[in-house]
Amino acid sequence: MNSSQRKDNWIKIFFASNAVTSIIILGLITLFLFKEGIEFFGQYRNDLQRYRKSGMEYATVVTKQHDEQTLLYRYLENILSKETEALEVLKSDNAKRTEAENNTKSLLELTREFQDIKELLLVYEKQVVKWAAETKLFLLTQNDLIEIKEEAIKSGLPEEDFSQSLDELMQRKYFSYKELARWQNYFIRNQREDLAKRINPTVGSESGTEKKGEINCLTPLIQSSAGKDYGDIIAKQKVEFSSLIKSYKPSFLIQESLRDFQKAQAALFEYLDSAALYQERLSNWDPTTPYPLNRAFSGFLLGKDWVTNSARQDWYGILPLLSGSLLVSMIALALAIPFGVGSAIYVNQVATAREQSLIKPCIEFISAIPSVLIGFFGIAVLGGMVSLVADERLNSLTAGFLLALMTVPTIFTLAEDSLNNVPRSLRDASLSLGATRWQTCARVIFPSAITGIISAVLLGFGRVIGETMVVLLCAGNRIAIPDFNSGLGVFAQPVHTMTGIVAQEMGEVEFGSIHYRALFMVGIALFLIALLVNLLSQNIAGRYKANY
Amino acid sequence: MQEALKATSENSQSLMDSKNNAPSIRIKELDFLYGNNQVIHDVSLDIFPKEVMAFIGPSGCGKSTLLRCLNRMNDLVDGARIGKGSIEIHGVNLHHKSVDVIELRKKVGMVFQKSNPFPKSIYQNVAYGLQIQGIKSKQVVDGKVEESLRKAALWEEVKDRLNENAYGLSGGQQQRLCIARTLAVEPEIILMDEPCSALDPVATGRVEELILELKNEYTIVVVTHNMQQAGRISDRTAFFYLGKLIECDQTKKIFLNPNKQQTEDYISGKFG
Repeated sequence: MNSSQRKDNWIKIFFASNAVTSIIILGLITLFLFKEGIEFFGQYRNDLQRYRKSGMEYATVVTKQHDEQTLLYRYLENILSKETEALEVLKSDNAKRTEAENNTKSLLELTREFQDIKELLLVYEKQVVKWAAETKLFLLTQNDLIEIKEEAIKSGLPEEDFSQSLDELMQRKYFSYKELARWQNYFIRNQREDLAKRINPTVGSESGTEKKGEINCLTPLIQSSAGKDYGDIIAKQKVEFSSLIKSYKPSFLIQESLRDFQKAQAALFEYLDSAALYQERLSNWDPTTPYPLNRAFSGFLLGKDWVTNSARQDWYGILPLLSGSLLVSMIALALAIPFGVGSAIYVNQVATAREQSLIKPCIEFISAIPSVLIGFFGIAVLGGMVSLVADERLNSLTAGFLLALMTVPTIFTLAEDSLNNVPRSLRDASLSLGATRWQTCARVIFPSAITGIISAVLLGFGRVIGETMVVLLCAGNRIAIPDFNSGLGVFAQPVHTMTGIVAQEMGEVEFGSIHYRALFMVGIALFLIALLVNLLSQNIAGRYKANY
Repeated sequence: MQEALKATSENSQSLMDSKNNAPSIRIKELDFLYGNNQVIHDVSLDIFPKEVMAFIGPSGCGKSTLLRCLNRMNDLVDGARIGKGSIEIHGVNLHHKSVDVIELRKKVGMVFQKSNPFPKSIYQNVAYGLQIQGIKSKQVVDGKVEESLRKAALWEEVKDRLNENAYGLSGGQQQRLCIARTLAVEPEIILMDEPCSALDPVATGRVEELILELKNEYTIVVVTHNMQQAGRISDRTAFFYLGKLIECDQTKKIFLNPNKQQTEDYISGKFG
């Protein structure tokens, strides 16, 4: 091998290594994302399992039932407030007044008694939630203790104070704060602060500071109450509700009230019929049924709630974020496509050289504006304008407008390129056949460039869905699926987005927690969408090149 | 120069007598410029109905520019303008304000150097010119498409695949498709800018046959680099050099016995 060949080889290696490095980095990013994210499902499953095991699932059903009763109570309250209003209008010397007063009084009594009956379930619900919260704490403590015991065995710590075996720990039905404090000291003595930190004997104790009492596993208590206490309460409620409503003689001041009352009555009977379903569900409740892994998957992909730091149970459903992201993106694209493509057509087909040299740099400059400044503009100026037509200043419309502004350069530049790539000869041919400039543009040039324009739009979509700062500042950040039934109102609702939630919450979560992993899963979903959009647009652009 | 002009006008005179009609196209003392760059110098030339006129000359001699002036395709070039003189078709000055350039291009069709069918079906390519005129009746369009394809001697080859993409045709077929597309608009004059330069000899032969065929109905102006082609298909030939019309005469005369030394040198291959 002579020297020039060697030099050649080195140059080749240099350039090849550049390409390979970028590919490796892309691969590493992907790998890292998946590595951090994929454990989410296991953890989420365990968490949901704990939700069931602790009885919190049970408590939620009771809460739901009580909520339904509260709804019924609201009907009555509503009628009462309307009646009271009507009563105040009546003159004091009116003969009907006394009668009406009596009627209203008896209606008031009805609602009071209704509330009293409802209260029976509320007391029980509060009790169950308390039990479940303690059980949940017990389960978490037990889980932690098993983990640090494993760690202690692995690192060969002496048994002394923390002598319990793994089996013993699994069999435990309670932990006293005293022993927890002892174990904590044991780890501190053995220079294992990291493990000691994981035992927290103050958490959950009534005052928050005292180290006394016990954390119990109360699942059996809850389970047995399902048959006894709960059954008694429901049976009692049923009797009292129906006798209450039947003994009441409806007589109202305004006609409407009678209709409302009949509605409320119907709703109550409907509820009483359905009460058996609750009872059946609760008596069939079994804390030991395993929670299948696919429920964790579907809980993430189809979950309608994203609730974190909740006292009862955290939910990680991506739908509210995904729908928010898509809604904002659709608004942005709906605005950016006509502007971007329209100005591309103008610059490419109509503008003089002078206009071109003015318009192109201007539009391209928009993409150079830092997105946080665009966010400022959105909050300060656009939000005020949007609030003229919507209830809130910051909502999907505000964010959509700004994202449209940011995407116009992307779509414009790529669309203009693809219009430029249409051979001149096609334009000449069309003109020589007697077509006007617009006919040529609409029937020959635009259709020839359409694949390029579509891929421009797709890349614009990729840009929009990945944009973070603007949506974080201007989308309103309410985590809920937009109400698509509200017609045009859907655009005026504040939303949260996938990018926004990651940026907002990632800084605060505990490393390695479910929440942390859930955010990574959101990141992966975002990554997959971006990948898909990119592949699609490359595919389309490729087909377009083969055309000529 | 003066002599050349005289020769041309004498020649036109005799041809006019023989055909006994007025010229289709009359170019009068035309100067044409791109910005400050004058590419056509004082050209005067008459082209008569139903004749094939060939423009020959070395590259950059202005023959293509002159051709593109005839249907004002040069309008699209920034800074292109007429210095002096005029072009008249049936006595109407093409560059007069009142001339509708769209109507002009319907009357003066053009076939380009490289075949340039639209990325549409064969049928759509031919129907395009009719559709932009707003002709909706499928019957009319169908009939016109078939007629045009027949005239372009392409019908038999494509009648079973009218809805396939035009890019599936061979180069020669594509060029004939472009001719059919031009014919569909019913032009009176057809301008051809080196129509065979990208074609193989067989395909070239077919296009040449077609030109001879079309001569019966249309006035045709062909720009060509290929001397033999000019000899085979044209009635008269105009020789351009450096933007000037050197000589225009019966093709036979130009090839066998040109008046000018330059023409003879070019034709015999001494330069070009």
